[in-house]
Amino acid sequence: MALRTDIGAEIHSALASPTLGRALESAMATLGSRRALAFEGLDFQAGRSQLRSIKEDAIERNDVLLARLVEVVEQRGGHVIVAATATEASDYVARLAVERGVRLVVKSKSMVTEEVHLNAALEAVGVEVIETDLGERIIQLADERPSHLIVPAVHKTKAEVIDLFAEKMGLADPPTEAEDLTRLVRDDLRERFLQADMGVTGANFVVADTGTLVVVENEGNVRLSTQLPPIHVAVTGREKILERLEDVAPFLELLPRSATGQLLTSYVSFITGTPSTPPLDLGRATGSTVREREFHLVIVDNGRGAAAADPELRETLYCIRCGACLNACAPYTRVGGHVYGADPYPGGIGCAWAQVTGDVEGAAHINGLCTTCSRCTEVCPVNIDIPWLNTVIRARAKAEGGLGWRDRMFARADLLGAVLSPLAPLANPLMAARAARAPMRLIGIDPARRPPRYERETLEAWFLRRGRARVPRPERRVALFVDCFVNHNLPRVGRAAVVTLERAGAEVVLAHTSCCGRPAMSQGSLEIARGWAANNVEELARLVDEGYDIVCLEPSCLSALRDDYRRLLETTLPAGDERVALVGSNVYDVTEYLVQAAREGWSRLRLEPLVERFVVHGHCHQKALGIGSAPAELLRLIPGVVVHEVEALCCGMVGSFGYKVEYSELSQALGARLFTRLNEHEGQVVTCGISCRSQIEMGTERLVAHPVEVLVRALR
Amino acid sequence: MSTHTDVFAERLRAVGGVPHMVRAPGLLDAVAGLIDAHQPVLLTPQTAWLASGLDEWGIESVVTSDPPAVLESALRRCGAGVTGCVAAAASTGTVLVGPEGVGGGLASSLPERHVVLLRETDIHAALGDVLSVLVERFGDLDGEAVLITGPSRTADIEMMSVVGVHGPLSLDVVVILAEST
Repeated sequence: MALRTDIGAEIHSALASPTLGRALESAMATLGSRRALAFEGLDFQAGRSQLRSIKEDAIERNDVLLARLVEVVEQRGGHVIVAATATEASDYVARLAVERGVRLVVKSKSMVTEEVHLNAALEAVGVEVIETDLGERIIQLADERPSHLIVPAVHKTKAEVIDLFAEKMGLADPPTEAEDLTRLVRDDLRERFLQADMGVTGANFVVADTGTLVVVENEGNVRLSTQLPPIHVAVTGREKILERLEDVAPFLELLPRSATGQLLTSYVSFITGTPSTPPLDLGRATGSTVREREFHLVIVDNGRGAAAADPELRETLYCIRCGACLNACAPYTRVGGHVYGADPYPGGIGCAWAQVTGDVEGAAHINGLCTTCSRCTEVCPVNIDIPWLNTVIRARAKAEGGLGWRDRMFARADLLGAVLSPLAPLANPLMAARAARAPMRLIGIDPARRPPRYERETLEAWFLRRGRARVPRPERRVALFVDCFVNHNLPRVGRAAVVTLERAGAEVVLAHTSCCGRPAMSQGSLEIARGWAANNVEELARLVDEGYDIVCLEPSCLSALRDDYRRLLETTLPAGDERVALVGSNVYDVTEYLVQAAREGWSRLRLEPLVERFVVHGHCHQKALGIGSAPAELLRLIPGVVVHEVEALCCGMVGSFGYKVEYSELSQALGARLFTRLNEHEGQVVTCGISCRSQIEMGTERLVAHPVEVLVRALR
Repeated sequence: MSTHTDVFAERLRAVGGVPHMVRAPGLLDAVAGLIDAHQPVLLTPQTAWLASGLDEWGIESVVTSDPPAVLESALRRCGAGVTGCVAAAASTGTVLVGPEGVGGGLASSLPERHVVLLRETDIHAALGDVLSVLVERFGDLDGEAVLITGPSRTADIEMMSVVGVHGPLSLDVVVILAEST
């Protein structure tokens, strides 16, 4: 693997590729829509919470289950080795091959064998290894690494595959249809299956009670690899162990649906003990010298045992490698798994796997690509909080290497605002001039990106000047959470919200304690974020106790308060402290809150018709929290409006992400998809997120409003 | 036919398999018709009883438990494999094929055409029911049991669905209808 130094350069070349973006986009769209169809009529949430609890339990008791598995497999005549490291695993197989005189190995798709670099180990002792999964075979012929968990050659177009086959198989006139290309590989590999001395497979699940391997596949190569060669070696991670055969059943309902959108794959093999076929000699190198079938189970630890004991990384081990997270990931679908991947595992979950398996540098290299949009978590069949894993890993890397200037600056959105708001008349024109921003590059900020404007009168200053409005017989009491950006950059959004909430019948106070902590979390400074979170929880819980509902304007702050604090504070707050949960269940997005008010019938809002068109972009965190449609619903309360919601896409700005010099280009590429969709519709662009707003304004030159800025215009 | 049977047939077609409804007396003719030119046919110890009947049709067969030398000479040539099945799921069009004795797995994995004999009474409503059967009868299914849902397939090139990779190119399920239906 080439030494990786500059993620920005890698992103640039991926984006510059004439074929990669097209290949990925169409494949991901196909996988996404097939998945959606496969889940129709199925209770995904119930299903995944079942899988999650089976996995939690199995990992909790992994040591016991492992011991039982080893005993059962050995009783049945199999050989088992628990390899502490990757090298130990691949050395074992290579040594076995040499001892048995193995010359040819047929291998079915297995990410763990990629992790332990098994092929290289076998080739080093003169053994030929043939990958038999079509995608893996393409990758092997191209001398590349897989770029997706399920579709290893997803980054290649058909035309590239045709050229590859023509070159590697010496074909003057290669076939051009996928069907014929597939048949070509079938014919090419048939003899190898028949002649191989050893078959290597992975396993999706291993059952401790029965010693059964469960392998899920479509092509039939797993079946041939285990039936024909006299020696079967299965390589698998120790996290794949489940206790009972019954535990496998619910996984079979969700794994194929999540992976390929199939209700079930063509084959699910349950292999127990050695195959019953006698050792056949169909032209094997080892000939008829092998008189008995052998089964070897290589169980790989490689950091997994330590991860099981690490409360922050443990949930990585629940991963069943379905790849659904990749198909849903905005950065992955733009740059692919060779850029957004740490060998061999791609995407955000790949970052976690790299950390678990000891590739800390690999993890750090790709860690910044996660935009925390949380679409991965929405589709994960075991509900792994992948963005949080990335946040934790970032924090560990920064704890090791320290925060840079840029990290410190972006982490302190509160401080930036406090310093720059009073200097607004000076700072705004200065920062509007690109030349003046040139030195920003020195600390890794793209000078081409326009920084936000600062306002001299903050939301708080305005509120203080105006005084608290008297709402007669208030229906509700609202504490509006003052976030750094609305306070310093867009106080007019805050003013609109205050007025609208008051007119709806709520008495409003401002809750300004600390920054929500998200900017600090994004930069990997969990300690700063934890301190603020603790402050906020204390103050906001007090307000909730006094009867206030907490309302947020920025969905990212809401997501911190409602979701991330639980993770952030789980290790520091005393057990039984209910305040995080109390705040979490009493904090609302302003659009969600006003829609709910109308629905519950207490809202006193009276709205004039507005004969206008609106194009709404939903914020990733609103979608992740299940309130993605709230902004459009709120606008639709206004008579006369035409509201169009554009399809769910990440804007790519993600707080500081789009300003960072190495990610700026990717940020704009992500934005471009959204801009195209937005520009298909006329009207006022509306979004709740502050960074979505600046991204869209920069990318489309259209003015963007928060829904409450529209609503306030319709107040009667 | 029961509703399960209809649903099973529909789901099987959806995944690229072909259902054939027969009554017990017509079974041999149906199997022979499906094998046709795909000779020799690979039988498992559980379907070996078909051998003499197929022979009358002029169809050569080899049983997976035959001596290795016999098997070795036939494996490259065999065009079809016939297996039984333990249970089927209507919801997904899946059949559960057990180990079927020595070498049984070869008959369902190696030849181009796989023919499955399924008793109508073994069709269950959902995949979960079939998995329960697998769990209950696991003692007898020792070795390799496999859930088969359609012929082998891939979508590894530009997500284009292609039927027929390393496993069978086609899957025929002969449903032996229950007497009462």
